[in-house]
Amino acid sequence: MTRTKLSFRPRLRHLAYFAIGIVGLAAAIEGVSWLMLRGTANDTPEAWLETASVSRLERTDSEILHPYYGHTPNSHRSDLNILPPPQRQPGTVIIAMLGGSVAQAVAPRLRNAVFQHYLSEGSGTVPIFLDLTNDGYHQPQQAMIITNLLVNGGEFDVIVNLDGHEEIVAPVFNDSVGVYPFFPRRWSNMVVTSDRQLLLGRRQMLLDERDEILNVGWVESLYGSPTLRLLRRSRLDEIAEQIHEHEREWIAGSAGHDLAKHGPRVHYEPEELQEASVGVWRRSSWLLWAMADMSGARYTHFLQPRYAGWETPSGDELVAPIDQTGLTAETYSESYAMLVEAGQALAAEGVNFVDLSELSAAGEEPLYEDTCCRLTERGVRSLMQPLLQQVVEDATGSGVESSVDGLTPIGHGRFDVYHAGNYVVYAKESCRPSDTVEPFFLTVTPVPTDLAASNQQSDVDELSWSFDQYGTRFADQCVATVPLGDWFDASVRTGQFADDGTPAWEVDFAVART
Amino acid sequence: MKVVMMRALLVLAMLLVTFAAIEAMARLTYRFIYGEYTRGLPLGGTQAAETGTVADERDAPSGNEQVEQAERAEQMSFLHPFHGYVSKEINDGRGLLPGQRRGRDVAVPRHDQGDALVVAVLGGSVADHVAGQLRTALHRRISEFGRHRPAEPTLVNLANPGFHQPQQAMVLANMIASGARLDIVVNLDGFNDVSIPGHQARVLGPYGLVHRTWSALALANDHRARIASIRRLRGKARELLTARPWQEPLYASAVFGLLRRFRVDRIERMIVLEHHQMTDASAMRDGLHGLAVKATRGYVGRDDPRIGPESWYRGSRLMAGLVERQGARYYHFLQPSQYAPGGKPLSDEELASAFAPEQRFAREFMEVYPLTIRYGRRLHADGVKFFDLSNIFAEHRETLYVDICCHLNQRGNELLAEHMMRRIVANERFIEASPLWNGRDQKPSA
Repeated sequence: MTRTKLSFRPRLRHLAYFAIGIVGLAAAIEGVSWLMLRGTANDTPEAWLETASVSRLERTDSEILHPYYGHTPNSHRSDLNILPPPQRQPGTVIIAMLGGSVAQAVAPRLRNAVFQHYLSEGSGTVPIFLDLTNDGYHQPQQAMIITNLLVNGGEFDVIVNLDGHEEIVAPVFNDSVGVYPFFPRRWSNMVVTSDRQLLLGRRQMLLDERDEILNVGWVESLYGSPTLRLLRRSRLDEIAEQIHEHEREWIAGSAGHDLAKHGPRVHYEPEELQEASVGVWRRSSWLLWAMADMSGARYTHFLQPRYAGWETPSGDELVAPIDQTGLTAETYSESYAMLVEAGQALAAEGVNFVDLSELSAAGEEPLYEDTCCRLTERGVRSLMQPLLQQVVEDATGSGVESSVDGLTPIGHGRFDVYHAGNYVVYAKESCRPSDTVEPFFLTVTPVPTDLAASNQQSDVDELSWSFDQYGTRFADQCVATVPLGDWFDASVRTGQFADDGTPAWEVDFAVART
Repeated sequence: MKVVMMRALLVLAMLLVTFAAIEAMARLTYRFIYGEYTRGLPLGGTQAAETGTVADERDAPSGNEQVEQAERAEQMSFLHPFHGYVSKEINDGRGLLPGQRRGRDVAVPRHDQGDALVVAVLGGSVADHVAGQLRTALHRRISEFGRHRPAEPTLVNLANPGFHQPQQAMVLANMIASGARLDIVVNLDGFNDVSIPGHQARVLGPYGLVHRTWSALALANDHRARIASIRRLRGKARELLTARPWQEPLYASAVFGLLRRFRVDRIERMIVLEHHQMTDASAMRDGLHGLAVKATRGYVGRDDPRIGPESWYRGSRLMAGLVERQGARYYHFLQPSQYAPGGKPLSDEELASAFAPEQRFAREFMEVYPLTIRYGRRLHADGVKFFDLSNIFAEHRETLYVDICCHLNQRGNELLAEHMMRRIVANERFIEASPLWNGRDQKPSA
């Protein structure tokens, strides 16, 4: 017993010394690590997540590719993303508005003004207003939209195109970054070639690894240790450096010409580009006119007000006023004068051309807020009057049929409501495509009647009514009366939808006002 | 010493027992989850990791198939903002990209440059293939064009494999906007327009007038990082499945086997997740994929066979109107097909290698073909110079078709070009003889 005790004590002592040594060493390492971490940037996960300049490589999610328009807004609600387009029906007038950012700013107001006009008029005519405008659009995009919609069966009564500014600026911008001038603006940012996918893949892998390191869950508590934090920091530093290296490679690779990203390589002298831009604008407008004429629609082309504020607050002329394209005020004015001239030539060929280019000079208040065509309130108001007048005039002359049988059919799939009241929704064929599909429901997306707030797209949640709310009559006879009111615009979608709004099946429904 | 030996043996025995227990547990776990443990990892159980295959409830391509389609499409085509896509084989002076011609930069074709008669050919691959013979026939028969006898005719090939309406109309509109001035526009199409849209709509669920090549390219474009990530994961999985020689003995142990299996499973889950990100409705709601690939939120019934023929008809009407308003002439030909009733007595060779009526696209074609013929008659009644060539080989017993789609051998292309040119020449002479003809210099300025 005694021997055992005597032999055990020294071992314990040794163990204790050993443990103290280990702890001391660890403390020393921790101390050094702490000193090394002192004075350096914050290395919290949040801080690290900002290290890669993601925006430099990744395209914005606000726009998506479109096969025939180049790009459209990433929204299920955009009229540009909805097919098939509406077709004429008795009692409706179909109005399409085209153009770039200025037209986009005006379209919602015009839409409501048109509705209000027909509401106050009381003729029972129901306008269907397609807002086909989009930020950055320039010809031939507007012509491409109408071509595609017509082939898809679209019918229009009135087509309004408000453009001009972007047709001058976008080609210059595209040309300055090596993109074919008449491709969509920023096309090269939207298309990624296969060789560069690998670069993005490697970068994605690094981002995944970084996220894995940062999203550690319970292990996070271990990072109280300066040593572990230092190790993590070292790896994150390495990842950040590799990500930046990929970005440098990406930017270096942007210099080369690639057909997919840049389109055809055509060299234009500045004057040639001016002429070519005006030519594309004129011919595209002619195309719109010809297509409208063939399809029985009335087309009006508005040349939007030219940007007039070409001086900085200090009075200096802006040399590169728009997107650093190098476009000068002089070139811009020259180009606009060429547009006016080309517009007159279009008018001589029969196009209803309205020159609003000098609208900016007509008042003291500016029409634009900035150099990239954001309209002021006065700007919107100034454009509204001629546009509304023309739309109403064209719609009146388009021979819209009045309502029949005591009901006012107002379309199918999507329709606009401006009278509160009861609406009949009925299936044209069977409303029950298969016995297995249930339930059957109707979705209405309301937009508030408050015109002041109507400049913005509706964010009101979709309201859904199950068919059950209308009893078996609906299910059996495929007819239901739906009370609608207090909103102007509604769309009826029928059938069964996935969470994302994709119809699993559909039924062609017609809607009529009782 | 003996005590030390004993203790060492005891420790060893304990280790062995522990290892055996762990091994047994591992084998039991393996058996419980995957079945009998074998040293070589059964590939069947890790199919998703190896191939990336994800079953899909719909008739849609699996995630892996979509990735493969995207890769194939990228090899052959690239995105075009207004035509959907363009074949990389730009070899014939086509103006799909204005300015791009035989690798050189040239202007958009214009009729008013010199005395050249400018003829543009539109359509899909058959039109693309026949364009060369059509050019030869045009040169040979140019003297028959009557008093309108240009010295040097020019044929611009604007056809592109896979194109169907609205692509022909989009190309024409873009060419006009770009400044093309054409004298004669020839549209040879029909097969893609009839056989693709319905099938496309059913498989992918979009409105059928978006070509699958575009969908694949858009998928590749929007999920470029994800596709690269899937490739990387597949590589990792393959690495694990192919053990190095020094690792081989380790896998005699179920412990190592189980660990490897868990890793492969994890990769598999990641691949599946990536695929789901590409194909799931959640991805569509969150971002680009759904709208981008489908191009639209369509409301058209997915199995509506009218989609193709109706768009084909409307596209042709639109093209005819635009061309005529430009003071030019439009000729629309419905291409021949071995699947058209009475289209051709097929040779043994054709029956063996160029006829597959059981194929989906062929069934689609045969189902919708009568409707197409009806729409063709409507075109004719509307005043469009429309010619149904679907039976021009009815008397030809020799081999003309080279594949189960619609493509012809040289002889077939020559015959087709000759048929087309005969009709064009006859009409041109008729038009020039008309008192309404005011000469090609009187075209509108647009």
